[in-house]
Amino acid sequence: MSTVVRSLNEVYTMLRKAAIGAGCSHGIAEELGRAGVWLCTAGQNGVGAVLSATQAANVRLNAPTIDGDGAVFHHGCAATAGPAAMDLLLSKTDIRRVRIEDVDVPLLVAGLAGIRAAESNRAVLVEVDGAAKSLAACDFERLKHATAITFVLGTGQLSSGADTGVSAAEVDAAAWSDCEKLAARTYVPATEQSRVRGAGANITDND
Amino acid sequence: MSDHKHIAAEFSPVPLRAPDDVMRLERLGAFYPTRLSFMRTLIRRLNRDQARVSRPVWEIDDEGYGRAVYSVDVDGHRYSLVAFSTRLAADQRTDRVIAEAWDTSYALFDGEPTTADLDRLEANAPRQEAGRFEPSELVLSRANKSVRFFEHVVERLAQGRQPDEKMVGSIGYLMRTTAVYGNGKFGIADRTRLSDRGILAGSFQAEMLTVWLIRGFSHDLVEHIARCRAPETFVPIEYRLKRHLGIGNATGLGMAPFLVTHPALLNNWVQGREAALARVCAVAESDIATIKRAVELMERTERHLEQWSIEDERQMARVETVRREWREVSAVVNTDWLSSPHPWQRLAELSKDRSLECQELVVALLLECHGELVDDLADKMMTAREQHLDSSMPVATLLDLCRTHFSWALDIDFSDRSETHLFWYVSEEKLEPRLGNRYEEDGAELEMPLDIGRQVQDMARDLGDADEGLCVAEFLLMHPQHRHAVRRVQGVAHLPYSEIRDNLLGERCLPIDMLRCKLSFFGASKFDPKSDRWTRITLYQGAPLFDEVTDANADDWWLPVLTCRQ
Repeated sequence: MSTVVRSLNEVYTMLRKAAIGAGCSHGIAEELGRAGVWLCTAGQNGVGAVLSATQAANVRLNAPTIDGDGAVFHHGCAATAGPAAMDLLLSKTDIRRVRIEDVDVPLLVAGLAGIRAAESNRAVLVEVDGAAKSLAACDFERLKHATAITFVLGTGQLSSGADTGVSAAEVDAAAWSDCEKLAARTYVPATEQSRVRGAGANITDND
Repeated sequence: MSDHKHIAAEFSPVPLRAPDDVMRLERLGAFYPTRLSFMRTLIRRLNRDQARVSRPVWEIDDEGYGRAVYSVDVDGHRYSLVAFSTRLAADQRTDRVIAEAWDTSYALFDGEPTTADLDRLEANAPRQEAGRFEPSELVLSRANKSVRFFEHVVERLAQGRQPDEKMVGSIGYLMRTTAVYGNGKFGIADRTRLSDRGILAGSFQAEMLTVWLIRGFSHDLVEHIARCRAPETFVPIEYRLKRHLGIGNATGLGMAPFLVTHPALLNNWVQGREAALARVCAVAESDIATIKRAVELMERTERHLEQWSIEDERQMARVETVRREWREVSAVVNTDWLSSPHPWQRLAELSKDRSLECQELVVALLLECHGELVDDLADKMMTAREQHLDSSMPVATLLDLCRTHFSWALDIDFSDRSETHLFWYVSEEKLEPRLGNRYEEDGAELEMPLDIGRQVQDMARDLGDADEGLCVAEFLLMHPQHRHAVRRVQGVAHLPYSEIRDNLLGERCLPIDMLRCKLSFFGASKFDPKSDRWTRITLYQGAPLFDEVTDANADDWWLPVLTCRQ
């Protein structure tokens, strides 16, 4: 696999633009960008996770089923159900656990949980195959292959797995190239009119 | 309802100015540099920490092409500006992002570069966006010569003469930077690398250090070429002229979206400035030294305004107005007047029935003569943490926040084409940020989300229809498209100066106001608009040179004036 090294700011910017290019709203795209960076700092393939999830970016979000202190999202698209699930879990309502079934990209949901836990300084546990662990201690290999993923609100403060000392990410070159193609959908084609008038400046500056 | 009362005024009994007044484009577009501006803060820190600048590499040929390294030792670290000077055909010289070659290019290196580092950077820095960089690089930049003036200075120095003072005064720089990239761009270090670096940890401090070093390089380069051209007759530039030669900058629309996409940072910049003003206005009586200083600075300001002449009709008319108003204010404000109680509050009041330029110039003056009282606020302006989304907030509370902080937006009729005239976009041509006419140009469906007012109005409409008992999490389940607006509204509840309170799509929107706002926080002066979306400015004019940065008066360069030969 060919890889390229990208700064975390490049990763965030590219993922946000790629998500918009794929049809995500700006609010969701920001969350996906942050989640991708969180996964990269946790040593995971954040770029690949976001890229995969954007393929279902236009899937309509269905309301979850509420059962006691739990909420279940059926046929879960990580890009849309993931942020909504974290909203519910951190909403200080009676919801203490959220489950996403038939989840397309479980790794991305972990990234979304990681970034929201970090932002709100709340402990979030991830449960795969019945075992609940903090995000920091999460078995990402097992999680990647899960078909359903559950998040439980912990009692303490933040349990984030991200390493803030990470300064750059090594990402799959092909995935990066695919992101660039999606991001390019957000750029307006150049015309002579936009070249001359759009920036409000001279074309040459030999004074 | 105003949100003015929500703003803590620290220990000051004087309230901070209301965001509804301060955060209007017209006022932001009248900001002046202050002692809290980032260049000033950097120079004070370099002075405090007794920074030393050296030039370990100078491999520049007789015509001025080659490479050089400047190193700054400060705060236990070494930072090195790696500079490259290359030939550039006249038809390639443009200050815009669409340029693909420049007269000079630069990287700020973390530490001391090896020869291998220099070779790697020589292969990449002149290519700028097309190159790739490593986390050892902190900033990437480039600059073009002010062609006619640069050659004039070379020729004069080679003849043993000083440059024409009128040209020094009216142009004020030898080179213009056309981009200064930081924070991870093209592979350079993410900002987090600098978070524990003290002197460079804050907003744009690494970028400002880079620009200061580039200014010094521009001085050295022009003298080097002149010396090589005529070593027998060459003279160096007089210090007073050299000090007045800052570094130019050409700034376009790319700077404007930053203010919208970094709301917490914008808040901290403006709140720091407003808190400083409140502290000064709360002073009941002033000492004679401060009063004398204020009078001196008012005289300096008058001379600075006289030396600020530009072609742009709109800005020149504003300069002429503020010149007249400043003379009126100066006629009243003397030592006796300032010796009465609450001098600074009265001076601020005196400016209120004058132009915004005059009002904001008074703000900058008041801060300038109260360093001991306000300088600590610079630290609070340096970093910011964006607000997190509070999904537990009741819908009714969110709607209240919309009404409190976005009343300016809720009243706009977005069905009126004049209110949606503009759209901001990124061109596929080198990703240059541009502005289009929605009703005449293609691409509006790809616009950047700078329409905060319109987004909030849309959300408020849906909030009004929602069950008041819902929380934000439940609201977003039904209306996921409002996630961005939720964050913005919740953010401004804690950070009152985080939003520009004007419609950035409207026909009357002047992007130049946003550029001036941001550039004033950098410390720029002599704003020289070339259109409503593009400006030239001068940075570090009057600032200490490399060998003056540890001098006792190194901080005294607000609103520089070109002094006459003694």
